[in-house]
Amino acid sequence: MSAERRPAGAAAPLLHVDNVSRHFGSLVAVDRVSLTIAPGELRAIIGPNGAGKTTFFNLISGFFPPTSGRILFAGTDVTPMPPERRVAMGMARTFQITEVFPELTVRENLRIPLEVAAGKRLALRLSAADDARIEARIDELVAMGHLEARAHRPVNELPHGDQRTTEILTALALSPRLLLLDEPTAGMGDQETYDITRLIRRLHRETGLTIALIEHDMRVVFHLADRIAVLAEGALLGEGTPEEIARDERVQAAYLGEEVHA
Amino acid sequence: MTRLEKPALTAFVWLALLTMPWWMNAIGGYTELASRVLVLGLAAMALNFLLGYTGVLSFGHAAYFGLGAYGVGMMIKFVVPSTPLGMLVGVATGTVAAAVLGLLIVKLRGVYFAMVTIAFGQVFYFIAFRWNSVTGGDDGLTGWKRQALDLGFTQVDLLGNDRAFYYFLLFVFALAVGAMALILRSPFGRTLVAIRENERRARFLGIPVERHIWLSFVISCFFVSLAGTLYALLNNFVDPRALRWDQSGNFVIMAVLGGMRSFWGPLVGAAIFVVLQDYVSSHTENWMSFVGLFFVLVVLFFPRGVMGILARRRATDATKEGA
Repeated sequence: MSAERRPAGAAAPLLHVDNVSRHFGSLVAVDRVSLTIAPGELRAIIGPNGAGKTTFFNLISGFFPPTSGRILFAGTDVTPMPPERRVAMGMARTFQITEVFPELTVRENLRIPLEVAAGKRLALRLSAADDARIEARIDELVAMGHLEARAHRPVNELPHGDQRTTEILTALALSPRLLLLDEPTAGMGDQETYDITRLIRRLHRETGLTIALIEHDMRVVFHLADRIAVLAEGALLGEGTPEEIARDERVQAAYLGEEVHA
Repeated sequence: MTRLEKPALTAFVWLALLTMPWWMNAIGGYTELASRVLVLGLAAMALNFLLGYTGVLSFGHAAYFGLGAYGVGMMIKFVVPSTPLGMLVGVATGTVAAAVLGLLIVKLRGVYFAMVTIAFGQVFYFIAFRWNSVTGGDDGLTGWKRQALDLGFTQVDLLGNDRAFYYFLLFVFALAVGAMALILRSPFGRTLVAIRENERRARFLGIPVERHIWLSFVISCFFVSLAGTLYALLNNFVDPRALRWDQSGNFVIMAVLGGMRSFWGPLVGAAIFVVLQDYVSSHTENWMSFVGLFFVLVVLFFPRGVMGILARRRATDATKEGA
């Protein structure tokens, strides 16, 4: 383990991943990874294919439990909690392969998380005031994603980039404290990549939202990230500012597939 | 999603139901046939609450339909000769059974869910079949009849007057269908559609998926038990076939035939099923082959059912008008 240890800053970490591993049979997908993310940070997680990045996100968000280790979110041990409880605590995520409600419109896709976040998931009716509040929030989110013209169309009729934007907006609808984005620009063209990158940066800069993202596009990573963590073969290879990571020989080696003598 | 169906279609359906005893007779049917459409339509719509709006396939809904039917029959026969009290007991029996068994199956998905619902359904079937002394076994539960409805100021003769009974059924149907529409249009109803659309997304937006599927299952079974009590009252008789797996299959056929994504689809499917059954079975014993053939054709060529065909025609018309 070559993770550099950082003294905890003034702020308590929002996310603290403590020596977490996940085994699938004999495969060690995530190998004793420790990581902290401070409030307001934008953290990128990079690594070659099969490095365990998505597995790592799945452990944080509760998709499956770790084989060992603990995950603390806002000071609470969330390791045994199912995903929906982590969501209730303020953790939202998107997926590598777009997960939306395909036959529903953009507005309906956004209404559902807004109602859930307002504690109305079991409600049989909404008061006019609640409904107006939710409609206003939908308008805001739609404007944020520049989807005004298509907000009334079923999501499966929209181009891929708009579907991914919709998914990010559904996560934002929960007003999360931590947003996990799994390859937000996957499968996107240059213009779409640019738009999403701008949206993420705006969220981070304007609202101070804490974001962790997995990304393959290095332009996006170096443009956005405050800090970068590098995973390779399930283990944390290095951590640091974009400049530090760019200089790190082991990181370059991992990407180029060379032998490393650490 | 906020509106389940176009208001014009809903108005048309209610008008058709209000006048069904007349036009059903005019096209060669009879009032009891109209009553069967209503009762089996309610059962298919109840199943579709789970199938079409939550995306979960149950192949065991006849169990709760049958429990409702036996509940009302046995209550009237053995305890107190009252139609409403009998219905109350029938619905409670079916709903409680669904609530308990539902806890055991909500973790299952897809074909496993369907298989286990069949298995539980067959358990009830064999109990009704074997327990001769109480249920009448294979011969069915006989020796009881639906009772007149005492409204305090007047009595409604449900037994002798076919039309009065039809409107009693329509009244119950309207309450049930109105309640289902209210639930489906609510925030809770939207969480069910969310689960149908994408269970993973629903869970990671904070919906406890198993708990909501359980609720949907219990609500669906509540309404199918209610349909079961009406079915027993309609026939003045219950036999074990009411809770056998092929009855569950019939509900699924009705829902798919009419269109699972349409609120009224299962009612339309039930109407086609019941009328086809009545018409073809007077010519041949193998009426089910005709229903089956019709079903296969609809599924192959119109996977969204009869209501899907209509919706598609409307959509193409709209495109033409736009061009």
